[in-house]
Amino acid sequence: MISRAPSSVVRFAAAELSVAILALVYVLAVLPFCPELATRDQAFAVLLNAAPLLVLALGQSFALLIGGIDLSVSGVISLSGVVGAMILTRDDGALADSSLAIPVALLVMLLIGGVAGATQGAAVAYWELPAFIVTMCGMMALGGVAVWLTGGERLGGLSLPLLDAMQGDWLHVPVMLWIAAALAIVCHLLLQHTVLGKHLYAVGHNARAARVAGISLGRVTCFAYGAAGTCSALAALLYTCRTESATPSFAREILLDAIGAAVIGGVSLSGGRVSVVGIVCGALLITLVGNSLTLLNLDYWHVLMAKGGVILVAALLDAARRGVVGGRA
Amino acid sequence: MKALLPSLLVAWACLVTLSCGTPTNEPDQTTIGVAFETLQTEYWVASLDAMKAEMAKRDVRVLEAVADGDPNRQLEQVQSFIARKVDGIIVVPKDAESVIPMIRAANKAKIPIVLYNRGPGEGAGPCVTVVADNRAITRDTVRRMIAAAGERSKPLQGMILIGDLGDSNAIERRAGFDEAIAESNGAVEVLARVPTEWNQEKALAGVTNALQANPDMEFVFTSSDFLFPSIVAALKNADKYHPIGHERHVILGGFDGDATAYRMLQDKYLDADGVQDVYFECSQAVDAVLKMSRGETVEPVLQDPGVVIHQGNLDQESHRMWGAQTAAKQP
Repeated sequence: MISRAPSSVVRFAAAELSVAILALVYVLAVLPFCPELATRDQAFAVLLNAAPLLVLALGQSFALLIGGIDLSVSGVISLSGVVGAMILTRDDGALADSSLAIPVALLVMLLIGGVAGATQGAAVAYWELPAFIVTMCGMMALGGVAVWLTGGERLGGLSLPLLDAMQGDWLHVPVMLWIAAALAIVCHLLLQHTVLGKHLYAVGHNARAARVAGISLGRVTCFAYGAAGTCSALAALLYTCRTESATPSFAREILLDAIGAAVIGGVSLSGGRVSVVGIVCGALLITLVGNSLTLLNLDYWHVLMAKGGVILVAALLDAARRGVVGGRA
Repeated sequence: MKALLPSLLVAWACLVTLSCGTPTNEPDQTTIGVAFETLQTEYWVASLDAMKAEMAKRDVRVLEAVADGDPNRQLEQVQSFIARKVDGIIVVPKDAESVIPMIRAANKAKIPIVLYNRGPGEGAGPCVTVVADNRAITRDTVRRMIAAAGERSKPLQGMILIGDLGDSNAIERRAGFDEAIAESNGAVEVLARVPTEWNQEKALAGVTNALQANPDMEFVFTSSDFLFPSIVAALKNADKYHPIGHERHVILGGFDGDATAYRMLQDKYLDADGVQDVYFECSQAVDAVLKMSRGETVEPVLQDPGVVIHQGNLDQESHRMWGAQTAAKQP
């Protein structure tokens, strides 16, 4: 009698690597039209383009894991980016000529993200407000403060040592890739191998049961949104260093890409399920679609159509995959 | 089902690719990458069309990309052009600062780069900029509006619709407006500054509120013509939308030169409009990038002086108004 239960290897492949397989299939499908995609430069370009999106998607996954959502991404990016730039700018930055400029700016940027996120988490947990409303207000308020601080003007002329460091390589790999990879490893370890990670899963699976089990919903929720905000601030650093400027009105569409990458990577919108490996593959796939269709000279609208299609197919695949993992297929 | 899903993905990718047409590679044909920050308004659409028409005249192949307001995405698109080894790049940047890494990437790849409509910030590498003089055109437009007030009692109660303050063009137009108001010796008292972020809904709400707060408003300038539908709707609701000569006519002015503004000028509802000469600017941009790709030298800034079109010169100058030609194509 042949067993119908999938082997452990198949289960792992189905659960963790199906998006990577999707990406490979996609590359094979477009490669005949777009041979540049197979070059080393383009491969690095895709990885580098995916780095800030990966950071955002990892942050978003903390909020999604506990059954919430963080819409304040663009607000946090705008505010932490412009505040960092106001400290760092070469000519009239608050610490323009000081050796402390870079560490202070980085610390302040991350603090803004963390504090803004944790505050929103507290509003969700203790005032029992819907995360959608709280973080939407956060997006508007933080973005508004960024416009107020700058008078709406984009800030450039950032510290050259910071730009050199962030745009440089280490061991022939771009520094931004190292940062994104390090964050992914930290998130994986935190989620899979710590008590806090187990608490996050527990709250996402069933908040009421988690509370009965003695888990502090307030602290876990504050941490999840704080982590999401900190990741948004880190993404702001990457975007700011890539574009060598900080904008008070950051593109709000980036939120959709971040959620798309997380969903493609197998993160459940109803909470309780996350895979860092899947998110890495999801961010890569979204970036790959954008890059390849630009190389193919397609309009941006067609890129959006393709992204929508990829996310839809990934969601379908995810549904089937859960069937495999649960032994229902 | 599981085996079917990857196939669905491939099918989707192929469908999108085929539906849009795959690129044809002719090795000897000059290829120019054109990266637009947005196609949000008629002006950008007309610019892209004019640029493509210029390229077609010269048998140049165009690769086009739109970043939808995201400078990071635009950087990725420029990098893709470089990967495709284009002969030149024309960028419509979101702002002066974020275009600097794009210029650096193009310079590193020894690909000429031209900036259309917005110039670069300090420290940018070699590039050519084709840009309208936003401040001067706006100042002249507002001067013309003040002149149109004639013998009306002063000060006129005025309003300006401001664009996205992250956009250097919006800032320059606001500055041009303020300069004209300052030199008018109190002819206009600005009672409302409506922030629109280049958004119709925000413009409609802002103008409606301003008209309710200041029912005697009689002087309105918009930093972009594409906001006129919102202004007209709000004025009609307040029974203040009347042609020139009517006692309740509100003096109107705008910037861009789109089809709506052209029709409003024709119908005598609009007093003055600052016009960017899209055809001149696109021709200059394409000329510049092709010359640079052949190794020729081009001036770093090519300026479009623009023109103010008003009731006194509409017939003579309308051929310079891109909106007149767009309007002729529309039903």
